[in-house]
Amino acid sequence: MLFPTIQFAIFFVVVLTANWLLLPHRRQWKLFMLGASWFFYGSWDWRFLFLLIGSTVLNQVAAVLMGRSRDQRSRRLVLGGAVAANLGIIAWFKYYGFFVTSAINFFRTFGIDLPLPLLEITLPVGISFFTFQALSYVIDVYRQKEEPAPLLDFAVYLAFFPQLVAGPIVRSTEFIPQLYTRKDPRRVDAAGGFALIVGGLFKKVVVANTLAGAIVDPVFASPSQFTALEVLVGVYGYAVQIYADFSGYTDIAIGAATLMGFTFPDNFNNPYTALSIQDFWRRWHMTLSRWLRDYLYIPLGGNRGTRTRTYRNLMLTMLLGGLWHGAAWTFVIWGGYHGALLAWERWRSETGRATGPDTPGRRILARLTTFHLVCLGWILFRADSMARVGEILSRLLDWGPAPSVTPAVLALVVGGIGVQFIPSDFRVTLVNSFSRLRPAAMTAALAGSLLLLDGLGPEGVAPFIYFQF
Amino acid sequence: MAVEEAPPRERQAEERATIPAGIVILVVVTSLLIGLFLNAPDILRTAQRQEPGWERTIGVALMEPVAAVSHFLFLDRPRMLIDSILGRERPQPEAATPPTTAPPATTPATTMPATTLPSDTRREVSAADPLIMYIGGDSMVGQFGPMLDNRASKTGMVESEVVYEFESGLSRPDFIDWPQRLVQVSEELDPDVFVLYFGGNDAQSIYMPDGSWIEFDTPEWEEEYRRRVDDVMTLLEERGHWVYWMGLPIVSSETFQERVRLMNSIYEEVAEAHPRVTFIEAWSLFEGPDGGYSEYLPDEEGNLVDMRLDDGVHYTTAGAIRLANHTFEIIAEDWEIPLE
Repeated sequence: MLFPTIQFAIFFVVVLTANWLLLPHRRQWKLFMLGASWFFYGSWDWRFLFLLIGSTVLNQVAAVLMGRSRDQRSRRLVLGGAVAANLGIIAWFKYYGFFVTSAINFFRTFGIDLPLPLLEITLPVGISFFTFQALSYVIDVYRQKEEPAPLLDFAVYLAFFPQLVAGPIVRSTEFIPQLYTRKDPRRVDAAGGFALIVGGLFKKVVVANTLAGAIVDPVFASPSQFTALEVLVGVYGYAVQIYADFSGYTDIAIGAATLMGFTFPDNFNNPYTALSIQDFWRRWHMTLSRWLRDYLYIPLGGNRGTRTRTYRNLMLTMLLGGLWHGAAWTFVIWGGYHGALLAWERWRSETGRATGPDTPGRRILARLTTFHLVCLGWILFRADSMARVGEILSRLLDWGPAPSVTPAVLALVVGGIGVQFIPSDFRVTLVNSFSRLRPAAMTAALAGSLLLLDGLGPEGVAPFIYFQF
Repeated sequence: MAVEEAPPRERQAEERATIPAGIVILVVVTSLLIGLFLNAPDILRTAQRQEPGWERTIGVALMEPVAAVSHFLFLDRPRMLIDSILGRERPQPEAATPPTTAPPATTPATTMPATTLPSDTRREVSAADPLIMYIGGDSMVGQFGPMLDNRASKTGMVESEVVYEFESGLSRPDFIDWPQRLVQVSEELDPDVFVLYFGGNDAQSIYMPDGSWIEFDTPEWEEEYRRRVDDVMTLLEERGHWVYWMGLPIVSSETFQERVRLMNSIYEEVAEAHPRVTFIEAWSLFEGPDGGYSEYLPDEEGNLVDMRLDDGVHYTTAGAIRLANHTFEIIAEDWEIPLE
């Protein structure tokens, strides 16, 4: 059940109504929301519902065992078991084919035939997201940052439909307390919720889907058919597409949660205005970045050891972050590329090579450099093989006519990047003005938005890019 | 690690006005209903293109009166204006309802101007006078088409156009009338070669021009589908084009395998009766070592690669390259195009 569909609209109206009607009845609310969220997840493939339920039970048992035990060794043992089980599940569903084919191909170069079975395993939607949420819960219980939650609370947290399949990665410490916060049904931040939902739909349906069909997919499928300018705009187009697609999804998720009285963490903050790669990761998929920081980078030692160890930790974190995105070497290389850039920036900063006056010219140069380094990374991320990466890069030298770079494509690319430079205050003012409209005017504005969304977007509903992760 | 703290949350600005939940629900429901009327023609079309079944029946039954009211009240005009500004030809509800007269969609050959059968010899192809190739069909073309285009263009002797429509095929001319579209391509582009890929969505009831349906898996279905395939091959052949009709690969679902076998056998048998049509077999190209479905197959260098998407039907890029190389070898041999 994709967000920009009539099915989801009907589902959401029912859930939103029940959400506020059941508010005084906490237990019934939780049972209803759990059932609705399982229904939402089961609409993709009902068989994977058992996986979600299994993950809920497994992690809750681990959390309860750790909560009851006073013995640190046995707590660590339970945590190790839970982490291994979670990673085992994700490894089986997401990485089995990748690891097995990589091993077979590696040994084949030495003339050894590995008799490993190749299985057809379907990737359950959202597995990377809910597994990371579950891991954060058991690790936080182990660290005694939180008590084990009641089973029903944890089940609702893990399955809550807005963020279930593509984030943001919400912490249990952020979500579960909200189940007990008294929400005032007379004061709903409707304007904030509506603005996020409509904006998210526009990003996905109009910007991302149009760019995908008009330039990005053709350029990445057959770069040899395009000249340098077309390939360049195709790469910029992908930078805008992936941002619009993913941030669009999380905007809709956060907006839907807002209308139901929940507050989710932000996931994007104008990433293409970043002044450095480190700054970019503070602005891009922020909930994944902080997850990797808290549950991987810091446990590895963070920046507490020697300089070399810090660089190693950065590299390991980003390599695994890359692998989290997909089971292919291109993702690993993409992660390594960002790890290397982060280490390089850190080295420059630590050795005093990154100093200088903070002038507008330097800031523009820093932004341009960062954006293009990120775009280079996106080529690794989007291309299906390193050979295709080489093909795309080599096309950047072949200048000629660029009929694919239409005014509409240019407008979407320039607009998609340019909009990130609009000051936040302006957007806040806009949403606040919207919030003061009468309900009838608000309704008219929303209905008009629906007309534009359906009219301006290409036909059909393309799945969100991050669903595959 | 990079992230330290989240930026200010703009959506939580203090000056923002709030409204009661009941009003929020009312605003949501009302705006969705108005949106339904404003976009009624497109939503009706979406409902109509679904496969026959209860969802389609209910969807169409609900949306037909909505579209009629929307049209009567001029509520669909803004949408029509947007479509016309964007140059989109989205059929209106009346046009999408089943025609009751002659069936132009399924009998294109009879509507063609009389032509003499062209000669059997292929023209000479060169870099200066390249082969014009049209690659079209359903979503199977999505991965395969660009890869064939890519492979062919490397010779410098082929120019291609790739067009595909999701959920389309020969069973549902009410949604995309492929024969009519191919006639248009023949007239406007006049390609030497048509590479056609259908079948991914055709294992469903066939829509007839009088609005009736022929159920899948019946002798009548097979007869009508065979006739439609024959009609397309005939119309392109009579217009002097050469056709490469792509077969479907082995698929993961055993139920769907039976359907694919049936459609492949129809394509192959009908193609045999047309001298200008070549059937390109893809089933065995994607069989595993045991003759069954395999997601992973060796590429040209012998490395095991994921060739099929999770749905067990469509190709990954590697799978599409495998089929594109195989297809282009056949085309190149026919047209005497050096492979490098």
